[in-house]
Amino acid sequence: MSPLLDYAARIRESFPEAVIDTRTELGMEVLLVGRDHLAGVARVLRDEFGFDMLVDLSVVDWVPRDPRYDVNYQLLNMADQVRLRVKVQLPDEHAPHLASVIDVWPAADWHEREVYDFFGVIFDGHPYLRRIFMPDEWIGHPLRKDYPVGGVPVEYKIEPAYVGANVVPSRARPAAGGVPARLRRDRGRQSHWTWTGPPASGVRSVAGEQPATDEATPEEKAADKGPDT
Amino acid sequence: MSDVDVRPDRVRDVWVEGETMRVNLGPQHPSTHGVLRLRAEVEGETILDVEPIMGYLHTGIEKQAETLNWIQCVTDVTRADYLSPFHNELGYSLAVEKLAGVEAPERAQWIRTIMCEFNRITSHLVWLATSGLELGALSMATYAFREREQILDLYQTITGLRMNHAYIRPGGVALDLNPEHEDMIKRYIPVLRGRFREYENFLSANPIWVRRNRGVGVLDAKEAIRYGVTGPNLRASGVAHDLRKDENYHLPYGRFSFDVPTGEVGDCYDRYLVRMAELHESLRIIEQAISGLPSGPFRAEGKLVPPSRDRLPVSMEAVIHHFKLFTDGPHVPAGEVYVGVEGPRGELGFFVASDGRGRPWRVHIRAPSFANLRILPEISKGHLLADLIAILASLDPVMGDVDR
Repeated sequence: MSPLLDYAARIRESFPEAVIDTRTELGMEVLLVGRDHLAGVARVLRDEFGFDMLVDLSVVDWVPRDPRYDVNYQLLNMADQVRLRVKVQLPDEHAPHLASVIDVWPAADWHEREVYDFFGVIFDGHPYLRRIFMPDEWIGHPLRKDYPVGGVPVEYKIEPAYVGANVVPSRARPAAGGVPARLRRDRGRQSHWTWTGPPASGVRSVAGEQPATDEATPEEKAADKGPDT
Repeated sequence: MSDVDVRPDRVRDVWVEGETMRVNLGPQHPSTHGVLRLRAEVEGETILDVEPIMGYLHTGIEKQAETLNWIQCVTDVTRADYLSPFHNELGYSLAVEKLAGVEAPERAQWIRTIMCEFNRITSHLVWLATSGLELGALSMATYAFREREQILDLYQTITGLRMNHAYIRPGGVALDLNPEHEDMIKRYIPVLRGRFREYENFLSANPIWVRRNRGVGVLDAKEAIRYGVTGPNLRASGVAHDLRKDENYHLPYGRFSFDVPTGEVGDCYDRYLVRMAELHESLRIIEQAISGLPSGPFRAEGKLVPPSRDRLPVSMEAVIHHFKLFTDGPHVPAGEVYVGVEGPRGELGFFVASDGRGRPWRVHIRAPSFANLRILPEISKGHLLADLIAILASLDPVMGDVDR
């Protein structure tokens, strides 16, 4: 019996419906696991098969395929140097949910934040699921296939296209897919975000909050009459 | 602040027991190896917690890769970890070769090995220079950069560029090694070996260096594995895990004799010792590879590489192939593949997905610095704020790799 079928058989004992499919793809053994069973399967793989390192976690957006997203966990058994890919498929949802495996492999912490940042997958049980690379107030998830390449205005320039865009922090409205709201023409209240730094001399040495102003200063108001005037 | 009483008899120490303070380091700071911001919570000088904040160098390399064809992509991914461009190219090229079912000829594999080992040396030299600089060994920076510069000159002679070479490509390498290049490399190996010994004499027993590093930032093996730490950082904790020793590794490392240095304690000093030993091991590998370099083609025949110049006037197929390659780019069969290579910082992985057309559907880089940096908060708790710099330097993160 190949090791792959062995894992599958053993996992089916504990979770009868967990393993959907097993296959070997270009030399890598792939275990396709049901969305609801990931956390349990992860624990079995670590404790009983010695997959003690989560090497990588990545997502592929296969739009327009259904299910749309493939979440790939690359596992490594350090003692035997055996590798395994666990794949979970997620449907085309505004904000697909998946269980976090941070309890099983703490290495998942930043990987899950990265996936949330770039694809908008919500990992339930992650203690600190915030954007890791994009700015906190960014809207949209850039590595989704329906997010355009380029077309993002330069941050430190005041451009009519996005001055006054109704910027809502991403935590309040996570996983808005598609074109970022700041690129759309529908604007709410007149406000804009001012960026100080990173390479500015005036960045405060004691951190804690971002120096963001909601209200434009009188000079800025005078300089910028608004896009509709 | 007008209600504060400043009479001298009322002035007292404002220190409050149990009060903590948040200290911000970076993002523009010479010791953060790029633009990394650290938010440290300290009680007095003792670190309670550190939160690395990154993204300042995020350039969207993975998104950009989806807009380029399979060959152009090499120039994109080589910029991820700018201190180990050859390894980036290698990992990506191996992934594409695996998808396309192409294998690079033997000579190309040996040239790749030589270039990657040189790259390990230049990358470790930058680590040595910067961590020396940060801990007060200022002259270390000038020495290490001197040697690095000479190796970069070697790169320039061979590939045409000092950095971001796009030299290793799917199917082989871009240009062949000349006998002059081989002579240059052979002459340079003993010089480097002498210099590395000099560095060791300079630092290994230096009391300041030892005191700043020994017992600082101890990472035990179990914790390292749980957090996905790889490379010299993992080996310094006593785990002899090196992908180059893996039987299925894609380069002919099985043909060379070399050791995998490991540490015992897993502190900053062990990480220093492991990297210094790796410099010597890399030289050993280069020495064996350059003396036994096989002859033959330096790139594979087939769809991924252009046809040779002399076939163009005589073969219509060659012309068509040439035209297709430079207009549309090669098509790579659909599939998904993950390839890990042993970079200077650990396992550099490439997850590449193809939908069978002329552009990658998805390129994901498993950045070793990203995984290694995650351990920083765990191993710096309880140390002094000044040690944070030593610990960060010993982990050797490159922000281009972390942020991609």
